[in-house]
Amino acid sequence: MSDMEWKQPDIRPKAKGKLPVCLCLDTSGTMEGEPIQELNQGVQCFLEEVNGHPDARECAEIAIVTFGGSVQQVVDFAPAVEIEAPTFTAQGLTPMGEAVALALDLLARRKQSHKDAGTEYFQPWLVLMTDGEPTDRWEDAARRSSQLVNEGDLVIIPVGIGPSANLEALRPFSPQLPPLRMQEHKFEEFFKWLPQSIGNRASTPTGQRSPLHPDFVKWADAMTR
Amino acid sequence: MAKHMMETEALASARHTVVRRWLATAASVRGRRHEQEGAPCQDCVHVIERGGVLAVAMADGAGSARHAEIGAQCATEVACGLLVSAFDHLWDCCRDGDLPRVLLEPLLQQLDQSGGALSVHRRELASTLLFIGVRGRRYIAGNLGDGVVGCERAGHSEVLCYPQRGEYANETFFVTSTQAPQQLEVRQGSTEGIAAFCLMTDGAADVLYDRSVKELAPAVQKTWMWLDTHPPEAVSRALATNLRQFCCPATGDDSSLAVVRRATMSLTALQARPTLYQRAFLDSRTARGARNRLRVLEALSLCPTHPVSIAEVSKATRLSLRAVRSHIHALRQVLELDGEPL
Repeated sequence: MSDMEWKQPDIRPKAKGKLPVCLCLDTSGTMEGEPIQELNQGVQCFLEEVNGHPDARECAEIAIVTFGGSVQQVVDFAPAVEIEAPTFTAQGLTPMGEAVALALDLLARRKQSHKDAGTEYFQPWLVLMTDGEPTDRWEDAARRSSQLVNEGDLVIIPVGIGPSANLEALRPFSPQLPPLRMQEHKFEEFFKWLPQSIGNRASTPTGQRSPLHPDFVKWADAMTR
Repeated sequence: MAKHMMETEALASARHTVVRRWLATAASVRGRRHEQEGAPCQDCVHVIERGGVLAVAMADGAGSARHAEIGAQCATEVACGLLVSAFDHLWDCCRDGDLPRVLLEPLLQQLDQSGGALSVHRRELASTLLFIGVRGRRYIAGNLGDGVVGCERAGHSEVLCYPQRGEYANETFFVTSTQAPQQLEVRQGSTEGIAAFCLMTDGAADVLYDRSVKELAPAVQKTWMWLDTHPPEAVSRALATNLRQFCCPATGDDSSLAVVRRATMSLTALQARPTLYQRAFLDSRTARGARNRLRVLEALSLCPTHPVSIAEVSKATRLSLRAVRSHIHALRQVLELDGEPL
């Protein structure tokens, strides 16, 4: 046995920084049928994939907000392994503005709690998915998310589901990453790719408030073709 | 006659039997993520000893930079090159607060040149940078980014340069950042009381730097001592093995560690070391050369009451005058005897 070996008591492994991720999901009436089924399966897949990715598993904290008729926080921030995938049902209109506002509030509070506790954290992520366009007042929420993105305090991934999604309605929320149109039956692929990106983000030094890695757009685009 | 007297006086201090020299070694290992992607390691370490200066520089390429590994290599080569060729000038620049400009200007020029050859902006070669230069009783250390520079002073490990982070966990500064000149932290001082230095990128710091108390892990102090008994090449291999075993599982990132040690021992202890160690310690390319240098040192130390002349050393070792002068010149570059340069 070599005398040049470190021993466990002599090292100080760092606690992984936390990456708050809020899924903001359209569960309005137009998602009825296959879209909502795919969304349910996709979220289940997402949680499994996060749990199976070594970096994402330790750092990602997931919250879920839905908007269909009303806005609800259905899952509070927790590691994927502690979350039982909820089952969504489609109903009502699309209060996306209110949902994004709630998601931003949740992410801000989560960040503050880490700051207060002295825990390292990454820029929060907001994954916004809709098959249509907002039916409420969305301008303030869009302004807020844009400002956060431009200041490097938020990563937002806006996804339009299917051919009816109004990508132009998503654009005001995301000044850097253009809205991605996800084709039907691509939910699982998207929700498998997302944990990879989370893991990469968590393990890559990116410099000061840098925008998303240039390849991110390429990957995202490939996932949503 | 005058030359003989100068040689005698020069050798007057060489009557001691404790020898010291700075030894350095390093290792970099590719992280899990780069292995999976088939991407190269984006950490780089450079160790040079020349003209009485020992220089170590380390860089961690930015994840967002397409040619980060090339940038990291440029950064370490420029930093080491400056340290060995212009240590005294850099020392004065430190004192005057001008070292960031003196270091970063040629570095950025080199990055522009390398970037031009690849048809990319210099930001695609961005990296952090940390370094240590030791000359005799003086050191210069610097850090730009999320690496850590430490030392052992009076038997205790100490952080010289703390990691620089932004608000978010993966935010740091690079040599290409606009704030680089302001962010480059520089330390200079006497090596008195200092027995070792270390440099580590953030991948290694994830297990060797305790962020909760801002101290080096105990493993670092134990690692320094390896250079007291093992040659640098063997220590480098051991560093790599330990980094793979402990850092790779803990982080997906590349990880690098460099250790610099003021190895101190009696001549008797040095004579008992394996040949590979003696060669490294005495800066000899061959076993025979190392043996001859030991004989020269032994001859110099045999007479504690009066200076030993070159002729006497030649007679005692049966080496030619020329050979003795050559060995003494070489030893003078690297050894200290009881705190005094040879």
